[in-house]
Amino acid sequence: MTEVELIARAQQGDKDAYIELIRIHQRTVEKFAFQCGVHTNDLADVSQEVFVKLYRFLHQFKQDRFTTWLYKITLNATRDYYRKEQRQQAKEDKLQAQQQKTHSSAEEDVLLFEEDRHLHCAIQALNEKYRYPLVLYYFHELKYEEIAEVLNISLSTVKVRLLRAKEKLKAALMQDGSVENG
Amino acid sequence: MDDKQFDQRMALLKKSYERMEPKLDPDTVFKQIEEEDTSKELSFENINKVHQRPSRWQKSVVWFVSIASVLLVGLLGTSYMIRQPETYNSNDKQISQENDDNRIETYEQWVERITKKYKRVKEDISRELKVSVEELNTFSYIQNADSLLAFYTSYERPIKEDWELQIMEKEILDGLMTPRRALETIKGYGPLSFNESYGIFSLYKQPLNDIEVYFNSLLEPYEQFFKKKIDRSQYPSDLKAIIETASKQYMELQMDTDGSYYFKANPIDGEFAFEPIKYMHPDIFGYFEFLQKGFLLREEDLRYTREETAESLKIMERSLLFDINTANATYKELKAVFENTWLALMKGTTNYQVYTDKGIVNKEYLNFLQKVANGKYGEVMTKNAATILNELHQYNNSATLVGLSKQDISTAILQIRKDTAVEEFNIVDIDDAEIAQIKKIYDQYLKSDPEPFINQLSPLNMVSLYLYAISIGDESLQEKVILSNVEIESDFLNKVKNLSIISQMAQYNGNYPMVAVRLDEEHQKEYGKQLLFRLSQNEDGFYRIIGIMD
Repeated sequence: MTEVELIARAQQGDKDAYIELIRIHQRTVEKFAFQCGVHTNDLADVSQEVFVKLYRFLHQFKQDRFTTWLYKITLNATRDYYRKEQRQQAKEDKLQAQQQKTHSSAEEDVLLFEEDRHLHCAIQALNEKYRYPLVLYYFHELKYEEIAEVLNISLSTVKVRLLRAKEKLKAALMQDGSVENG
Repeated sequence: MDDKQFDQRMALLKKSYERMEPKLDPDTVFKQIEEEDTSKELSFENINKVHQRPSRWQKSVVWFVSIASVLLVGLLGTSYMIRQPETYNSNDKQISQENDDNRIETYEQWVERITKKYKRVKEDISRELKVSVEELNTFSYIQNADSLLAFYTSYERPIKEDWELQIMEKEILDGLMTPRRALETIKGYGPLSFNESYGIFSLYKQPLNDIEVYFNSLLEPYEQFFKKKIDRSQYPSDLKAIIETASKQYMELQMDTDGSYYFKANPIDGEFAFEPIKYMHPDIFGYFEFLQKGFLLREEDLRYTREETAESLKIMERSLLFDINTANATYKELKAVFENTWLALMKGTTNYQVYTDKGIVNKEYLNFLQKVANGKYGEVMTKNAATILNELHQYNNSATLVGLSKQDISTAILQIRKDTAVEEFNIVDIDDAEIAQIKKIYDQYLKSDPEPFINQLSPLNMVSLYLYAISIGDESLQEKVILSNVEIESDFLNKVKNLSIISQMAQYNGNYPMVAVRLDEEHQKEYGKQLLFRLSQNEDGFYRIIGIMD
């Protein structure tokens, strides 16, 4: 069944069709949320928020690029999730507990290699205005115009932020000694 | 750290992210939906009644409506459009000019101006279509535009950035279109790129259905009149006026097979064709063809003759082969029509059967098949048609025809595409860094419990690992990634002594995952541009390789 057919069926209340749509897109959503800074333990919750929202507005969806729409919703859900005070508190508690082990024990499940974990942490340390364009460009292969659309910023801002993000990330990597000069 | 090193590090991390396991159980989404039970609040009718400042939940609804609208009209337009359609009059231009000069319009001033401008454009459209504004307000695309305007003009936090206001204004006005206004944006430009053409097509398509439905409803009172088959010059003046107005939107009066009349837009080669449309990219016309012809099947049979249908499919094929935005719903719809219709043409329909009553293959069918095999109706079906033709000549039946499926047609499209689709494919260049990455995965495999490790591999990584296992002679791993009881035969596999003969790998995320392996130029001469690996789930639900199409 094509995605168009799945959407059409889901719009008519076909639960199985919507579940199939979730299965197709959940990896993109979770990956993006993780790259935006959501802890692996919270990925399922954020992802659930995204797909509940998506379901609510599915009947409005007619055409065009489903994925760009998903990125916007995921970004909003990611931001909203940590804005909620209780969850923020819970997150801090969780993080405190986890810091006793290693900074990124949960990330180890996802990122098998030490180099990758270093780079992932360095990206997380970037200000979000640099982190989001960088993630969308390098890991989701969005074009500048698409990034501008998802983040609701101008094309020139995308270009400038990407350039700065790259500089900052390189500097951070050099500083923590995870790469050799050159 | 130079740029190349940086890009390599990012590429390696990207590959690691690809290995993430899904966390969400989709069933829990429905549990939450049922608990919230807010379906009543979220009805679209409610949104359209909102003119005062929306409540919190209404705002979020409108936000998503606006996203949907933007996606419909403006999203693709951001990268596709070449300019703002001229939807405003000289007064508006003057106001805009003043804005350009001053650049200090406040949000409140902008709201006031855009609201007035929107109202004026709407009145212009109402005059253009000769419908009352009240009637116009019932069109769904106008309702979407209204929702977007309502949302963008009711921010609690005023927008300060001038560029934000410009983008919002463009999105709002792009929502107010007629087919004529959309196509007139071509005027004054030379040949357009595919993306620019697609942007204009999206604007054209957006209002078309509403407007066709509306004008067709105006024909209902004349049903009996049409049956008398009176010459068009004798039509009453009010009907002539309707036809005249419709013609401005490229719509011509046509007669269906059941004798009923209807309007259908045909700006390409119809009675009221729009001459500058020739500047659009030639590969865009598959989308226009589908808009004009609609679905080519009706009740398991063809709506048009076999030859007309095949000609339409040939036009659609060009868009399917050229457009790289394959995740676009419009692309997927066109592809589904293409596959379903070709399947019906090949397998036969009630009026165009493969066999005669005596069980002999129909001569007309064989002639048609020969033309398909010769490439008269495009490239995609030539190979399948030639095989089927050969089998029918030899045995009077064809196993290929019996087994032909939509998946086969989809695969044929993939094999012929000139470029890799950007969204359904996960593309990886096989360079030294990638080969090192594959070796790392292999090392990890050696340290891990084999089956669980292989179960969590993406199709692309699984095929990479399989090819790597061949190159180093690890037969045990080769067996583990292939579905049990399946034997894979390919001359190519004997040549894999080193992964450097591969230039690129790409994962296709369709219903059945496939991995395309592109070869370097030297090996392309011998084995073709690419090989497609097919995967299927084993009895435990994990993917394994089941075959190669070379």
